[in-house]
Amino acid sequence: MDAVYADRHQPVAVMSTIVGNIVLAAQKERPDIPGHIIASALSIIVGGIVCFLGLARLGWLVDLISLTSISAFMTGSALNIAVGQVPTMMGITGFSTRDATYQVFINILKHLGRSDLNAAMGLTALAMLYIIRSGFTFLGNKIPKHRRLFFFLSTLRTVFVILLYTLISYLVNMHLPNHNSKKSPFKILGSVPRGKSQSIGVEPCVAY
Amino acid sequence: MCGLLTRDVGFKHAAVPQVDSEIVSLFASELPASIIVLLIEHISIAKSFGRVNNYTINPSQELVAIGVSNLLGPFLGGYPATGSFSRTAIKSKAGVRTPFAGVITAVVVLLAIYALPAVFFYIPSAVLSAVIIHAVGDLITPPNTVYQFWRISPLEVFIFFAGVIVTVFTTIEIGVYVTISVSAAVLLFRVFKARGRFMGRVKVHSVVGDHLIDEDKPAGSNRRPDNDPETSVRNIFLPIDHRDGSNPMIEVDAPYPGVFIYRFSEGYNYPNANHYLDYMVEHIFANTRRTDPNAYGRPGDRPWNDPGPRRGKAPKVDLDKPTLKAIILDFSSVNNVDITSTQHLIDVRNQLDRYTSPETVQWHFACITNRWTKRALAAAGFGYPTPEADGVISRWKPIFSVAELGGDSSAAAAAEWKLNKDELKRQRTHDLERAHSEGAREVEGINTPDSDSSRNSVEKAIRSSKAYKPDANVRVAVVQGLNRPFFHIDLTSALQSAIANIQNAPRHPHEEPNVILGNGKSLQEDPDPAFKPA
Repeated sequence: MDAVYADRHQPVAVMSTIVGNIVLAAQKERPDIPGHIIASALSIIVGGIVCFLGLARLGWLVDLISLTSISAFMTGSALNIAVGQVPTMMGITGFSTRDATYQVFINILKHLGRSDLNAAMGLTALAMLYIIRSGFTFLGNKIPKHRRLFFFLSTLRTVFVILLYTLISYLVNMHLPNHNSKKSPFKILGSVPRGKSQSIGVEPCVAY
Repeated sequence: MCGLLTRDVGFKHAAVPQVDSEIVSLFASELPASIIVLLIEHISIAKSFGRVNNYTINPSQELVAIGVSNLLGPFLGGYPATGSFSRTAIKSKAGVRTPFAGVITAVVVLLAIYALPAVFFYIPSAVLSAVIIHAVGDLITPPNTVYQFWRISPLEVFIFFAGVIVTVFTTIEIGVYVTISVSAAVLLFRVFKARGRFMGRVKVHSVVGDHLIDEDKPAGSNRRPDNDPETSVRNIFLPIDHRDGSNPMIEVDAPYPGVFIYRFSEGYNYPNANHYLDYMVEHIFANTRRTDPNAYGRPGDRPWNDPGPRRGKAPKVDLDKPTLKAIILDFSSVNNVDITSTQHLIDVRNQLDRYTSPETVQWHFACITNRWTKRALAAAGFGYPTPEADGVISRWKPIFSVAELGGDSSAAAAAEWKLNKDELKRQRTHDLERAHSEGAREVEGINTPDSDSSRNSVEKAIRSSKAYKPDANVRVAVVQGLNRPFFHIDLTSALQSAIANIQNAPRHPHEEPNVILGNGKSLQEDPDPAFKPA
């Protein structure tokens, strides 16, 4: 059962960011090709190359990537992704979040005054996540007998937070005219076609 | 460990994807970065969790898995996917042990895609962003870890920060390239700029608890080997400049006047051959004097960058410094040599033979463990004593040198012939009874050795010596071949051999007879009172 919960909370893989960047850049050049075609082609080529590397027993090439590189890469891209998500969390609009990280950061600080109701949802959600996690860690240390239980409860925090805020959003938006998501006081996901696809150009958070 | 997921990009575009060159050309320049990121994400997770769960990863196998899943994904409308950190972490703690968990994951996600869009409608984007920030915040390397980096390898902390800063100020792809290339550059720099160390000898006593190990043994007990753990006194070799952090108050002396022990620190190959040997020769020149200060027959023969004595005065001879007698090379960290590095050794050998003319320098090698290395050095002419040249300057035959192009009519051969012509003329007027060889003699290094008579005499001497006759009481066996006596097993035996050779060498008339040591004896009478060969 825990394995089932695990898949609900995948963070954004850095790969999605890179794919997003590539697709947007390609679409700028050739707007007529839909994004998903480019992504599929990319996936095939990359898959083919990696598969060849594996079959040719060239797996040791991965050893050329030192731990320093890996941790610098992880830190840098984590900063990149986090800073890219702050505007959405705070409800600040008006600039692209796909610029270089430092530019996005500067823009955030410049337009901080423009945050709206979204910030109320976003910041409280963030705070709640951290509080729940540290609370359960503390409890786990205090009562070691139930440490495993606390760990899994802590893992559920993401689902809990999402469901809680979805409930709030539902209560607020229950009676939207025409079920139009744009009329909501804060930005909501809107309709995701049942079983159908969405274009890749959408923010990586959709990958969630 | 993590299976493929088609994400929310459902099944509308399940079709054969089109891949043609114009589409590929749109992203061809981003391919290396994408591949590297794909690999990094997957393999680093797999390796660290594999270690936690006692599971070794075969990277090639993992690569095939990633490759195949990315190849098949587009047929169902998916896009490039790879492993993810937190998913793996949670599954690992949940007790997942086989990849079958990926199947369960996929099934659940499929259900979610189909059954829950109505719920998805109401999810606030701000909350999703908050979740993402929370999850990603864990990936940032904490300061504690950076401090650990600093303690282990300070240079890499700079590489780390360079990578992070580049990623923040430009794109992820450039950050990846920068960190990988700087890591590679540091690796190459270490190899290229490797510097050897000169070693000196120190006698040590081992102490257990508060007494020496064999303090209580009677004086006349059986002879024990030199580094038997149960005897307390033995010789060790430490760097002369105490750069390894050893106690600077311990006097590490040069092992014997004129003998130098040089240890390579990072392997001996073509990028660093020159660097190693330049340092070695510079140190030797600084610590020895020319064997024959009058070696230059005419003022014009002295090299232009050697100032020489003032006009009319005798050449300045620094009698404090010994003459160069032998060089011992410690090959413990050298696995392979190549043609360039061996050629450099030959060049330095020739250069030093000129420096010590009319004597020659003996070259000893210690701790060579690779047979190919021994073969290479033997073919280059090392491994046995340099035959005394009797005043004739001969050069060691090089493997490949630009000055040698043309064989016997090359520039180097001509220079040698000219030098020998003058030298022989001088000899004939001085010593008419000399019956030895005339003309230039090339000591064959590469070709068959049988023509060299002095080497054969060394072999005969070895065979007929008493040292190798088996003693009735004690079984002895020879550890290494006898035909290359200067390839030694360790530094101690190399040093003993070098000193024995020096003390047995015939005296030369050019040597200053009145070098007086501090204890009132001359150098010839008492070479080194502190060292007694075993």
